Amino acid sequence: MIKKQVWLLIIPIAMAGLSLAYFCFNNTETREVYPVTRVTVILPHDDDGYWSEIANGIQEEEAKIGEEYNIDISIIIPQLNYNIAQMTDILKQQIAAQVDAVVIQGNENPEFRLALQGAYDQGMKIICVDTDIKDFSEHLYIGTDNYEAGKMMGEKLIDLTRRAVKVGIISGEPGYLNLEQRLEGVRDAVKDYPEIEIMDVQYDNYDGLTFMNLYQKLHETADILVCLEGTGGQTLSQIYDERRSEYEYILGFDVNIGIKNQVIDGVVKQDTYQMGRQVVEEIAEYIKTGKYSSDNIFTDIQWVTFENYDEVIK
Amino acid sequence: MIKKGFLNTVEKKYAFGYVIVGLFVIIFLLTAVLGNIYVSYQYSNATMELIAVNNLEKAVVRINNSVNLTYLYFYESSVEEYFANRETVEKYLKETNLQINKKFLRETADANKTIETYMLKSDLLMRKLQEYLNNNESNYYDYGELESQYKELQEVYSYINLSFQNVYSAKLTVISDLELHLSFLQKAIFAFQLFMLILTMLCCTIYLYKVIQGVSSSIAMMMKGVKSIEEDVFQARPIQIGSNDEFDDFANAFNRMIKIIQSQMRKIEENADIKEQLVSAEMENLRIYSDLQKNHFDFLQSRVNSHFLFNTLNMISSLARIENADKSAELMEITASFLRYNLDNITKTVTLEKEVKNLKEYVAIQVYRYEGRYSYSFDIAEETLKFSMPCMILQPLVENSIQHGIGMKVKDGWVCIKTYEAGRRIFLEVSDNGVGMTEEQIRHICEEMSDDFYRISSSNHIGIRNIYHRLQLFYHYDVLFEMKNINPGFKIVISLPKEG
Repeated sequence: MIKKQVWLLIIPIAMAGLSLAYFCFNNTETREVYPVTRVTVILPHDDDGYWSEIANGIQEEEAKIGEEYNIDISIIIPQLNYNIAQMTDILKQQIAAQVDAVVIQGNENPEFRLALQGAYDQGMKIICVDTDIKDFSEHLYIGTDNYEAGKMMGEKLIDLTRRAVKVGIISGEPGYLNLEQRLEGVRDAVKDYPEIEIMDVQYDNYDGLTFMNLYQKLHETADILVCLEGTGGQTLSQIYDERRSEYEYILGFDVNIGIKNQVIDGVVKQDTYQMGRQVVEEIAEYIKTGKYSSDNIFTDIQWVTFENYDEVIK
Repeated sequence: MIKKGFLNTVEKKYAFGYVIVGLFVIIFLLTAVLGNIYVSYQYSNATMELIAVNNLEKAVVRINNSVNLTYLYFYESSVEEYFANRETVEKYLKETNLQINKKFLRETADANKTIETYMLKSDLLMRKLQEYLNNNESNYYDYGELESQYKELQEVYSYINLSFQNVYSAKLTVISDLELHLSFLQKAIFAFQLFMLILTMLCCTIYLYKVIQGVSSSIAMMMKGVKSIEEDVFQARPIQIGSNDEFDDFANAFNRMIKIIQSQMRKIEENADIKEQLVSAEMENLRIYSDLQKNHFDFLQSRVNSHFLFNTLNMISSLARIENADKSAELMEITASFLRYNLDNITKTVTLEKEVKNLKEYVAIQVYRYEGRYSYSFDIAEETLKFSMPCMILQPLVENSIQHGIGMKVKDGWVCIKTYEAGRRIFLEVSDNGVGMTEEQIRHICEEMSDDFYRISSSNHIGIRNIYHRLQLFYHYDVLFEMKNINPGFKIVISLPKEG
């Protein structure tokens, strides 16, 4: 009888003690077999929906497998959007810090390429996300097959018009391979349709104000507006909350709100979250096997309109 | 009785309660002490890490100053300072690298690597500057390359500054998280202590309640047992406590006491029956004594007569001697001696020798009386002469033989008196060759003798019955009395204990 009472006392005390001990010492980190791989992701823009989704994908996948492969990822964003000088400086910092891999959005700026080459020469792994870099040494590209995306855009344009129209195109900035590939895809898609006239490409420099100036200017001549990257669609979605009459159709990339209120008629939606996840998965693959699963990892794209919005976004 | 377990006394049970309290207090204090040690250790670690980073930063600033002074102003002493400070940087780098090995922090790792990059570049530059300073006579030197290296170095140095900012920021974030963690820990410890306090109070209250309840219950059971004894000793049942302490011992002792009391009470009851029997016996004794008193009274009456007779006989004897009537005088003297014996010893214990002497005087009188018609023989064993016995036992028996036995015969009658010892008993025999008794008479006499409440009857054998009862009282009922016809005659045998 007494013995039973003693056990009834000892058990809760022991449990409480063990809980306290676990609480005190559970933050002890243990590193696995793999040495630490320091990865720096330089994102060009702190937006709400595109690069932020890539960042989410990276962080969530890192949380999932980062500890297993001992991957430490640091995400750095320049103060100014798409500021190549700042991104180059950040890249140089990473070279000085001798990180193991850098993840960047490719661009053709000579200084950036020079710094990137320096990183490569130092033995750092180069991973381009969203945008590849032309004719660069061994590296990995993860992102949309931009030529195919442009082609999808062109085909949808053909489906919508079927008559003589002038198409105004606003892109981001010269020197970005992804935008050039998309433009090439659009052009190739409509090349057999002479009634569809592609006007000269305009650049908004990823700036909403510049885009709106171009928007106002182009509608005098163009029937259809095609935005080759997300800035145009984002800006229109923020400024207007209903369909406008300046253009017969407005098509773009990677914007959700504008589709819902029909300010934009159709967009090519890239799977940015998948891009982020793939970055971490491929780094883990490299740690594990010493090579990537492929030199180019293409992520999914979808054509989104008002009609299929709920289904696709879901 | 050996009780099982450790807690086998009330004292130990109470002491165990205090041990529980003590145990909880120790846990309480240990928690507080360990918690404080852990918190202090964590804060100390965080502070030491920050100090190490700060020392590293200061060392890097010093070597960069040396680089600047050498490059900008060609201070030769700065080259030595550089290499001296470089060692300090390496020392602090090791310290911070140890931090990383212990707990990886990306910002510190980046800063350390950036410093390593800086040092590679600064070493290269400083060696070239040293070389330049050592060969200042040389006219040619690639200043452009030095300038480029210096600019590159300062670019890296700017990254070092940024890295340190990041490190401090990260460290502060870690400290902030640590602060939250420790704050939570302190709250958890407080909650644990509070829980322990409540648990202690609860456990002790329950435990002491159980102990006190056990003691109270034991006392109540004992009181119940006591009351049951008060009500009816024979219905009192043993108490079963089962508390595994002194109360069990007490209960066992109490139960034994109940058994003893019940046993004693039964004996007392049995003794009460015996007492009743004793009272009856006492009553019988009193009645016998009363009879004896009456007999004694009768005897005293007869004694008065005997004295008168005794004096008269003495006077006649004297006269007979004067008148030369010697036989008459002798008879008078024998009769007087016989009467004197009776008067002096009737209530006393006498030896068998005296009794036999008296009996012989009686027989002598009877010889004179019956003028030799009857003969008397004595067979007295020597060893029986000193035997103590009541007075006047044998004479009535001989008288009885003469009156009811040989008295009926004209001549050749005899009476034999015999005493002997056998075993631890003395035997007295009086036999005659008279007419004896019928079996009916013997049975009647025996019935009268065995009747405790015998009454004065009209029987002719009062003497025999009187002798029997006197002997019974004198020898505490250890008397054998046998009467039987012999052919011819009658025989009475009395067996008495030798050590009466």
